[in-house]
Amino acid sequence: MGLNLFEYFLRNADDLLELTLTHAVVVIVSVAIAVTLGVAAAIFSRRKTRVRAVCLNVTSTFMTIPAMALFGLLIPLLGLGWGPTITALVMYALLPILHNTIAGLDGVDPRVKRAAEGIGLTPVQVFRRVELPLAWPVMLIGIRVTTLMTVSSAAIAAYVNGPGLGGDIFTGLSRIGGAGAINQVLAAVILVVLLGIILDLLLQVLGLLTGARRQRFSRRGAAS
Amino acid sequence: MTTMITLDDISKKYPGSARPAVQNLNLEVEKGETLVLLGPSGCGKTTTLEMINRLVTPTSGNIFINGRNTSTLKTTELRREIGYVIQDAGLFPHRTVAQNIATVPQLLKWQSERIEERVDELLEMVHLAPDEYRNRMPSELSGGQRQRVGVARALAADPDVILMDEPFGALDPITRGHLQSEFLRLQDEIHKTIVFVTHDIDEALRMGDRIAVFGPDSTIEQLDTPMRLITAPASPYVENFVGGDTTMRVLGLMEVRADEQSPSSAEIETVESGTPTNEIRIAGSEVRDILVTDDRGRPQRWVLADALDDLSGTVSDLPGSVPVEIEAGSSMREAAGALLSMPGENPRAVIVDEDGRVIGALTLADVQRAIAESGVPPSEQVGERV
Repeated sequence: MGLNLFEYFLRNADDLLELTLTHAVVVIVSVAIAVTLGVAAAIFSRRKTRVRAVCLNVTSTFMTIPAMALFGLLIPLLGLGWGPTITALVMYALLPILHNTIAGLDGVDPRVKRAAEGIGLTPVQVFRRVELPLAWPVMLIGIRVTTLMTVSSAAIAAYVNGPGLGGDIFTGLSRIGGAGAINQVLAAVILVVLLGIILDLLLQVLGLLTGARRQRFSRRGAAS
Repeated sequence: MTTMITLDDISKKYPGSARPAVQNLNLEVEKGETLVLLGPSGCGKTTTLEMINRLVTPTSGNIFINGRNTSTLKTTELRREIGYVIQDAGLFPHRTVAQNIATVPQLLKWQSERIEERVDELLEMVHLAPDEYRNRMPSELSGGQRQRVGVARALAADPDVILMDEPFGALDPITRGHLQSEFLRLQDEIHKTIVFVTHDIDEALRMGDRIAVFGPDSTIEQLDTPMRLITAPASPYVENFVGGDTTMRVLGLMEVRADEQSPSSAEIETVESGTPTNEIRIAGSEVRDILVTDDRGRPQRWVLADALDDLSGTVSDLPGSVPVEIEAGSSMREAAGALLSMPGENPRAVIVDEDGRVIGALTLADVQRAIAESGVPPSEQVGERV
């Protein structure tokens, strides 16, 4: 069977590559939108405890909705394909990003913020130069968790005829016992897993780069 | 003396709190002085400090710096003109020492070469070797080093006014003592106008030219020099806050000097080592103990008067004892401690200058005289409460 699977990959290389890339695009678009919304909500609700509680509760509730149900319920509103796929994935992706952004910003030492204000940074400068860089490592962890989750949830989007590798899993499972059905499912699953690993590695590299850049600055001195 | 900072009838009431945090406060800080705001926590001293750089906005009243009403200035610009040091320094943990120090000059858009020069100059000023510390992260520094960087950051744009909020509060006592002395020495060179918040009476006595003691109801109970605060507390509250230990605290405020303050200085007789003993007998009509020094005037040993009967050799051949040295300018409290721990009936220490040359002597009688002349009420000297 192993050889068969290998042959399957070779024979369908072009299709599989295209599906994988589409899957990646779905994930990246969803995570990007979720990061934008989540970070914005976290910043907006920073000094408003009630707004913050509402945001956290709503996004937690999103997470508890069973995936099949959520995708299905979106069909009457958004039809099939990209619309419900991205919407549902963004809804799932929000919580870890919102949560970690809040945790990251809360974790900044208030004395450091006080000192920054006290020596004459404007509120925007305090946020951009002090709070955001210090919250970033925690925020990045949220983004990595979200990305892995989204890679796997995106496969279920095939239920609403969504793009990506999910289609192969669904069709393969529906004709299990048929010729090459197992290979079809296995190949798609392996690619989903590989995609998850690659995206996570890329985010880790991003983390290293954003940390490493600081190191490089530091070697060059003050005015860099 | 010109006034640098004026607080004119300042009050601060936080919404939802019954009592004002600061109430009708009037205060003038002279140019070049260190004014300490001293009081228990919650007395409004930090609020007062933070109203000067408008981290806290007064509910009523005006604050003038250099004659300008601070409420008419842009807040961020005002703050960039005022140095600010807080407990544990508040350094940016993601930026290097140099970047931290360069913060305000960068905000003020200095040229990068000028900033680099200034950073190195400031690191030297706070005794951190630029090449070694410039590129360190704050997490790679000790608490004392972080606080030095905090001071350097506050001085970066050469502000006239520096606000310090418990700057040495997070340090162990030994490091705190070092930083206090260093800062005093630095202040002797730079003559900034400093407002310094602390709850530590000893720190206040040491750092302040004047001390404002805050009462529990957010008003100033007494504003006076350290010596006046100890010797003439204005109210039982101040007396209680300053605490007992009056005599030792007064000594702590006095410096060792080789002048009329220590009459023993006039009686000391020095002889360079190698001098033949018979020459000394001729020179001095009355036989006293003699301090043998090296050729640069640094003390080597005491030779007792009795030993001088042996006229055969030089002073270096005679038996003697190692003298205890006290540097001029150190506190009388330390000197008294050294004298008390010396053996013998009439302990005597040698006062030396910064190069280690003999300039005088100090005995317990001198210390007692200094206390008597300081104005400490005699009753306190005897039956001191603990």
